[in-house]
Amino acid sequence: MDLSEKELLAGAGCLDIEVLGAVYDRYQPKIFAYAMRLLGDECMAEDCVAETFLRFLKAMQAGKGPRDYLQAYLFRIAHNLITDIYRRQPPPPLELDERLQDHDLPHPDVQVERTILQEELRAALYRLTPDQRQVVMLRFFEGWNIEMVAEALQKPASAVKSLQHRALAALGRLLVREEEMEEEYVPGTRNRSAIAEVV
Amino acid sequence: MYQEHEIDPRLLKWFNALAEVPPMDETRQDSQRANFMDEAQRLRTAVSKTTTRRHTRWMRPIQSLIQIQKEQKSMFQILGTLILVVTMVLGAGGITGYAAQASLPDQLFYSLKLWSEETLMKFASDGQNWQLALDFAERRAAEIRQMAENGQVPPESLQTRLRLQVEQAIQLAANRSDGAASQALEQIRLRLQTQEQSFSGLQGAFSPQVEAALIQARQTLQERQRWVEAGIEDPNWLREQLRLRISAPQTPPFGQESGQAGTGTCLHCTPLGEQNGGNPWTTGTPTPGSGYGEGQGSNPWTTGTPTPGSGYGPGPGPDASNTCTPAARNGLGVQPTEKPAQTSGGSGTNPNQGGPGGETQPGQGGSGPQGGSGAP
Repeated sequence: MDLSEKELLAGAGCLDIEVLGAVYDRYQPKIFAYAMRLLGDECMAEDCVAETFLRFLKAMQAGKGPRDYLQAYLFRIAHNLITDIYRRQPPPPLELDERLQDHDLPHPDVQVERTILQEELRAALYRLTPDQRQVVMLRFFEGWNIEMVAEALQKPASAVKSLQHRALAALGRLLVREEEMEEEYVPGTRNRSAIAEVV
Repeated sequence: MYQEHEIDPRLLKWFNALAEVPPMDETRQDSQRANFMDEAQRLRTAVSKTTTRRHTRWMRPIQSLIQIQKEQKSMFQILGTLILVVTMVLGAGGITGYAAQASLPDQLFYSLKLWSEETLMKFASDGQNWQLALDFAERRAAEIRQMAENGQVPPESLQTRLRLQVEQAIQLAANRSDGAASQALEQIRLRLQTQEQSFSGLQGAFSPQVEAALIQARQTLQERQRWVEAGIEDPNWLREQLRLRISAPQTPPFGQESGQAGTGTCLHCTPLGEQNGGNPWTTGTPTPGSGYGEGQGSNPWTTGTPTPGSGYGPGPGPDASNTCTPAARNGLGVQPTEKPAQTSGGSGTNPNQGGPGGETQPGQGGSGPQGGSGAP
């Protein structure tokens, strides 16, 4: 079913079963990828997807659903859920390499390196504000333009640009400087908690 | 879409590492989709419930009063609910109160009426409480008249309440300063007179019981009117008499209610006096040395040693012709403080001992207009 977002919204507003199925098929993979990137846990990402669409359904039934932008609305729900999960959970550990080395899984070097980078980025994203985090995710991983992100955040475009700038600067401080510090690493003296001071 | 220059090239490796994520497991994806569609179907069905609710829409304001709702209500809704509740409470209270004020002793809300009067008395200021007590006494009098006109016999409790409330008004008025007390007593006198005249003006064929009740109420008013008249002349004297009355509540110091002593018709009287001798002011066991009991005459108004020349002490003896205290004030009977020489004991030599006590014969109380007139 190839419907525009407006048509999907209109059908979803009437709780049309076929249209709701189309909405799910179109946006479920994106929401899952979004949750998976931020949470790094498949089960939690699945729960986030299920809860996102359930809230969407209830909002449509109560007549409080989105009026113009369906995708932005769904991502906003998912983002809020993930933010709640972040608040409930302790921050992810920073010394990822040591933790991964404890695993006995026979990962290839490339896979290990990639996993380490993912975890480091998640840990850094965790330290951003929720809005900064959402801007980074939607702009650089979902490929949204400034206007779409502004709609999802319900903020002006200029505010989104500002958020993006600060988010990238913070990530640079957290990730790049940390790496530089590691290069100057002297065994037994490394202290990653310095990252918190940078933030 | 973003442009490459927007990102610090040193960050790209992290971004690239996170760009690809595995898709959801197909089995779980199908399961989740099925759950979503079931939920959508269920909610779609639930939408039709509003059609049934539409018929009960009139009940929602009532339900909202007793249900806790999660949704925030607008200020107007909350305000409206509050106004409705306050109106219902005050309206119901007002209707009940109005019904109570018009009720008679044999009716449902009469106890509420009395309760409201008691409450008002508790909160009344010192300057107004006597007026309030008098207002309530007038209500009792009006109730007696109303019941009589309805052919009902006013209960004895109503008569008692009338008497007590009139006395309460007199006492509260007398407790004020002399000037204020005189003014208050004058007002009481006028209002008692009006009430008494209202009883006089009642016309109709009443049953003997109703007639007796009306006479009793009228006499109560007349007697208290005389107290007041005496009190206007000398508030201190009235205060003293009231004080004695409080200290010996079974004893009517004013002598009027004892007019039927000896005849056996007056329940309030102390049928002692010259028949039995002793102290007519108490029916209890005399305390040795208290002056009460079977003595040879005594002054019931004092227990102290008589002062020479004060008139207390040994008297001329039980001369029946000299036993009564001449009513010096408006026909009031016993006025020992007013006429000490004539109220002294009879033949007893010790004033603290009891005796025939001629002045203590309430049955032959005063010689004034009401003295010995007796009860109906």
